Amino acid sequence: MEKILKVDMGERSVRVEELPEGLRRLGGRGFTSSVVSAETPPGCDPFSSENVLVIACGLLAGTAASTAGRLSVGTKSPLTGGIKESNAGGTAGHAMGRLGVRGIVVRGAAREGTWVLVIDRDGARLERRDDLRLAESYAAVAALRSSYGGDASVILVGPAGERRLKAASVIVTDPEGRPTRHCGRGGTGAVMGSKGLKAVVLDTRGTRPPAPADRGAFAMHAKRFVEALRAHPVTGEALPAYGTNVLANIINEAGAYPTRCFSSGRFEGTEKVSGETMRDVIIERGGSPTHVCQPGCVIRCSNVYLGPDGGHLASGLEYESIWANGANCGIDDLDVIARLDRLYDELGIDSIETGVAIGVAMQAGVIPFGDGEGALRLAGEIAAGTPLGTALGNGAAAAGARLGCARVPVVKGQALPAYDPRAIKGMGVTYATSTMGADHTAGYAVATSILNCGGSLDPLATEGQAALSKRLQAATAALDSIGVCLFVAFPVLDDPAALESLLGMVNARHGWGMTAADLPAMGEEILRIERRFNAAAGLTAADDRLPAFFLTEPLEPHRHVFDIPERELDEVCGRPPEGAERP
Amino acid sequence: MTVDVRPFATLRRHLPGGETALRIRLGDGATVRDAVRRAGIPEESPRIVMVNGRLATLDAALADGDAVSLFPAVGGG
Ligand code: SF4
Repeated sequence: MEKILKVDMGERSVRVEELPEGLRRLGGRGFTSSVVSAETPPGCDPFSSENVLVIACGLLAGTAASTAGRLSVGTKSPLTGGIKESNAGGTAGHAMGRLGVRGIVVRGAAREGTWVLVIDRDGARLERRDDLRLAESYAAVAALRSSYGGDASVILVGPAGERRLKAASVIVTDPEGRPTRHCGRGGTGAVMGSKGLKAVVLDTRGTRPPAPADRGAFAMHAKRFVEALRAHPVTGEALPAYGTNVLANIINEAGAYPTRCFSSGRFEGTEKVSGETMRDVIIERGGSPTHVCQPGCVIRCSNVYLGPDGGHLASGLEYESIWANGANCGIDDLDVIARLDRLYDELGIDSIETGVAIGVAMQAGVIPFGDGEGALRLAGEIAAGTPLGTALGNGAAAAGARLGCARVPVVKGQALPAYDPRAIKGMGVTYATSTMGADHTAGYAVATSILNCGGSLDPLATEGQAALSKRLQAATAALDSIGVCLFVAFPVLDDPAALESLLGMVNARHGWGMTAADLPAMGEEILRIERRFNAAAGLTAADDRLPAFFLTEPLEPHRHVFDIPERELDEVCGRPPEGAERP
Repeated sequence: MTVDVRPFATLRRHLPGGETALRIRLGDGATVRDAVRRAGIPEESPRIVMVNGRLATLDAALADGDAVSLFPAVGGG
């Protein structure tokens, strides 16, 4: 029987309990959102001891299922004021699976000290580690691994989380033990830091993979799933060869690559920061263009990026990070972007939110667009904790407020990612209506409206975008709850065998009879729980909107504005049309 | 007419000597398919086609000065 760990930081207690009936069928986001909505008072201050922080693995964690080691962190977000789930790869999800822990629920806050939760085959305990206070993440991981085992997986916060910066991430280590995979969005790291919890260390020595209910069926479906991932051209060829940054050119060509704080859809320097160029640079310097963030993933979208001197800079320089700190800031130098990314890894801060905050500072004239050294200086101010640096570390909205900028690309206080909603309107619907604030992963309309996966829809059309986003948001919530990497959606959207084998693994692992028809309802239910929390926390229809400038400033080159009617946005959120009686 | 053909990712291997774009001349009434053939790219390779940044098909008619972007199946997030 899998377990749930209940940690009270105020009492410094850890209890191991059997997974209660109501949580047994939930992993990842389904697990975190259910627990947060049941236990966190929606109106509370996210940094108060009442807010719970929930860490959960997926339903296939610890097994050989490819990409199934996704880790979710959920809480009330200090950035959006609503419920938050942010997930990452890395090795911790699988480690939790091997240790038989589906979820960790952290409540309360330590009155003093810096604490580490250590979980191994014998149980779990809190240890005081004041030596790690405000330690940068590479050094913290090295110290933790020397104390608790050289192969331990670590979930941690950096100095940004300890200082409660609202863009702080929860970091997960990769197979080389590098702190490079982030549950980046929404400031979950600041909540973890506010509790005095620096890290969770997972020592899997002496454990085994969980035994599936039906071993033969599990092995068969696991094999078929890998075959489906390998057979699809996106997960079998493009992502392994170029990583996610293969998107830079296509999104730029489509006129949807947000440039200089969302003022154009095309960036003249794209070729220099594209996936194609990056691959050449990586190979030339002896890095690795293909890398896994977790063992067993056959997609291998990650990479190892070395600096000009051959020193390691980043593992997994991703499309989003490259855009936020590249085109969004008018910067076309991959080395500058990689150095920024390294700083963010050390600090434990979201590369999207922070890049967009720096873009806002450029828009305000603090430094000019394109000033790479200036961007590095601003990132240094975040680390140093200057007043401007603290505003930047609190995200794009806080930076805009401090600098007197009204034109700030955020929804629910969270920065927009790398697709302009005026040129890919389905993404605009997702940004506006997601329970999470502006989040590309919440309903990835790009797949259908640019990449021809799961059908096709003109990204500039007005019709059909709301329906597409709504469908994708539910499907995503379901996949996030199984706990697999979202990139499996490319084959899942196109190839029935991919979904069949994925569900086959879940059923064989747990002895269930889940079918594809159950997934939309499962996703809808999670979204309902999240919306109810957000409404109780005080978010309204006015929060399910894009900033006004997207409705009034046409975007080059297509000269479109975001023109999806508000009533369609409300419908996606399940709000009754205006004038209608609430049932 | 003259059009620019810009293949991306793995499709670039069809261009000579590390080129990233090709300017080609075509007769009146030419389509994307004609441009792809003239560029020496196997017709079935591009999975996503854009003309001037708008999604198009191989049968789309071209006009002077058009930019044709060609992609294999790609994805990310
Ligand atoms: S596809 Fe990429 S992000 Fe997903 S599990 Fe594999 S390496 Fe990690």
